[in-house]
Amino acid sequence: MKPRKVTLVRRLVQLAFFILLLYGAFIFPHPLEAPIPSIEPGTPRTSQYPRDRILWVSGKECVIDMYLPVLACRFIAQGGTFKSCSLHVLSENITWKTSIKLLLPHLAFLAVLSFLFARMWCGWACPLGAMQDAMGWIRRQFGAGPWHLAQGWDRFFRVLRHVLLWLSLAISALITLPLFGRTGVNDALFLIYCQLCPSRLVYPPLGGVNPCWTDFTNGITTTLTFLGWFCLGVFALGFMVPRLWCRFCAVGALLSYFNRGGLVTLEKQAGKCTSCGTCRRVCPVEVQRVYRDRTNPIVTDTQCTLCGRCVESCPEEGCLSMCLAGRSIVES
Amino acid sequence: MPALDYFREVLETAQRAEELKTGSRPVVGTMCNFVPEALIIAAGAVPVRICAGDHSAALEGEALVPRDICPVCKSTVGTLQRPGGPHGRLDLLVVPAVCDAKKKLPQVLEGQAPVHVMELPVDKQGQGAERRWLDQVRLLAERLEKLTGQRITRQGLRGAIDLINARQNAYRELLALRQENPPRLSGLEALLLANASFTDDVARWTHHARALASERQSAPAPAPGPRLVVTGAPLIYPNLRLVELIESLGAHVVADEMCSGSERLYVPIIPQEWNLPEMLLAVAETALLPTTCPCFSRHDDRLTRIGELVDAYSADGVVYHNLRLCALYQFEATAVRDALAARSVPMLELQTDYTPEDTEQMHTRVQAFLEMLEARAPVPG
Ligand code: SF4
Ligand code: SF4
Ligand code: SF4
Repeated sequence: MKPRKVTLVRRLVQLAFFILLLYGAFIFPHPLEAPIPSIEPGTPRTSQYPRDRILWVSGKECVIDMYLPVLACRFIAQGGTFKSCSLHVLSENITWKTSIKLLLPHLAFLAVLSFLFARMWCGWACPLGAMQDAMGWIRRQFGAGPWHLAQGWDRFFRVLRHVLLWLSLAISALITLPLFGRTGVNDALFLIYCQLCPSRLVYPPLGGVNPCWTDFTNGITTTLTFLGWFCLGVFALGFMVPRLWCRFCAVGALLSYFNRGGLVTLEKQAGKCTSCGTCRRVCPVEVQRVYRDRTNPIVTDTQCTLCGRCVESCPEEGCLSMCLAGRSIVES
Repeated sequence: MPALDYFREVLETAQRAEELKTGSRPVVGTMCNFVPEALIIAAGAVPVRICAGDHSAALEGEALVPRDICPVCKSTVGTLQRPGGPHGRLDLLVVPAVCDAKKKLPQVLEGQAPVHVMELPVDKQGQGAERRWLDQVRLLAERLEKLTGQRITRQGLRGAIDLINARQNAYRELLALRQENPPRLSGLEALLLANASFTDDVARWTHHARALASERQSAPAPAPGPRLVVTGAPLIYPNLRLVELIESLGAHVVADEMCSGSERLYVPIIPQEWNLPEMLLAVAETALLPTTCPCFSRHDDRLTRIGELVDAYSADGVVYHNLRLCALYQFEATAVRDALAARSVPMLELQTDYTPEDTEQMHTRVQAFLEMLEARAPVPG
């Protein structure tokens, strides 16, 4: 069997990102407890939210005032190295109605990063992705087999994560309507995706901070508390199903729009393919396309995390390759 | 002793049969590559492919099976009747129901050994095909465990997969020699190797294949000649005369797409993880998915494979071998011819039986084909 060189490099990159994103704020000096910058007068403002609400568990400013297209979460202890993930910045600024002028540099930066690496962020940088890989490693030590997702579920989740993405953005916009504002509902639904995302519960304890495990203030917060636990359960099931959360993740869904047409691509020379099925078997997120597609030279699936496992495992020389702007970086 | 002699010995002498007969491990006969050898090894038995190429045995086989079935089946049946055949003994026979003859053969052969039949999907990429095939492989695993009284364990299967993969890697090393121009391993030699692997111990075969590869690294190159790919119905020892003939006329068989040749030694088994269910899945899928056997309803993979061989081995032409009364290979000849014509690669279609009577005619047609190739493009060198 060929050595898994790509995976070795990837593990190192994942570890580096894990430390950088989760512990960067402990390593690099940065303004702690700085006042939350007032963005613009308007409805509603972060300062209107009580600090002990779930959303402000760590409540400290970050090292670099920028956002990443992966789960560089807002709730990392000490504020984290980066400010937050792409979904956080989108949701909160939709709610805040931040002027596009202020937001544009951040959005442009996010777009460029997404275009450059697409879901390579998932395979190589996301701490939650790395944690799921680590959970799989622990499972393997026990000799337990991975559970595979039935194809019907897989198809369902592929739709579900886009629903999650657009629904949370829509809710972020809707709660600014006076109708909801007046009833106070907006408070509980603010940053709704973050309230579900396992990162919010998983990252703070890693930095010694207690996340807000429960919020039974009203019906909505109670429901969201339970939904959040459910998502945590899905994440925990990642012990058995490789990268199960990644099949729900809305941040991954957002990145997946860049997977086809982005700069990093997975390419296949169908003539060299023997249909051995190796690429499909080794894929952590059970991508079928690399194996099945025999006509298109570019076989990047929207689910693909560009981990390169299929490329390094394919026994046919030159059959699969990972390319940057059309130039091959690694080949089978 | 040149490294090749080892493989000739395996094929020509009764040494291996003796070894199998007196060995402590049960011998499991298989009738084609669909039966995963790794599984048999993991269960503590020895896999032996029993497909035969002997003409006189084919005549003897006619006593038990109809005359009008393919010579491979007849010869295999005939060989099994002979006391002390090339396999020494058979404790179980595994027959995948590939074609009509192989569907009916099991009952005929029940007298020789217990028979286990495997059902094959008609379309390997069809709905649920992989799952059904995996079930078949699981059933086989159970049957093997019962036979040997030994459980297929994680370590056992991993060891068997490693053994098979080492063999495939060694063969790939040899294939690299055939990509050279002129090739330093002939088509006949490659077929001898593949045929020796039918019965030989996997580890020992691998060792000698490695020795052959390193011996050839420094060997002088033969005279250049037209480069041909041979595809089609299996050429099984001793019926290798088609390749012998081609190479005696100065051409090189640089690649083959035959289940008795490179196909069985090419694809490694790569599981997602080294645990039993994942390895079993990999073993099952590797036996099914890359196989280009014409028994499936679609031939796309076979066309791709032949096209790739023509490219990768810089072939000038293709020889398509039909066996008399094998409808499956005959069916696909037209599609292969058309696909090759689209790349302007000429193809010669030949039909043979195991009888030596048609050698003369074969000679004439191959010679004409080679002359045509030479007229098309002068061979460089
Ligand atoms: S899908 Fe989400 S959780 Fe998974 S690696 Fe990507 S950003 Fe991280
Ligand atoms: S691993 Fe490579 S040869 Fe095998 S099916 Fe995938 S692309 Fe084809
Ligand atoms: S398709 Fe290949 S690169 Fe993409 S996630 Fe699967 S194994 Fe990794």
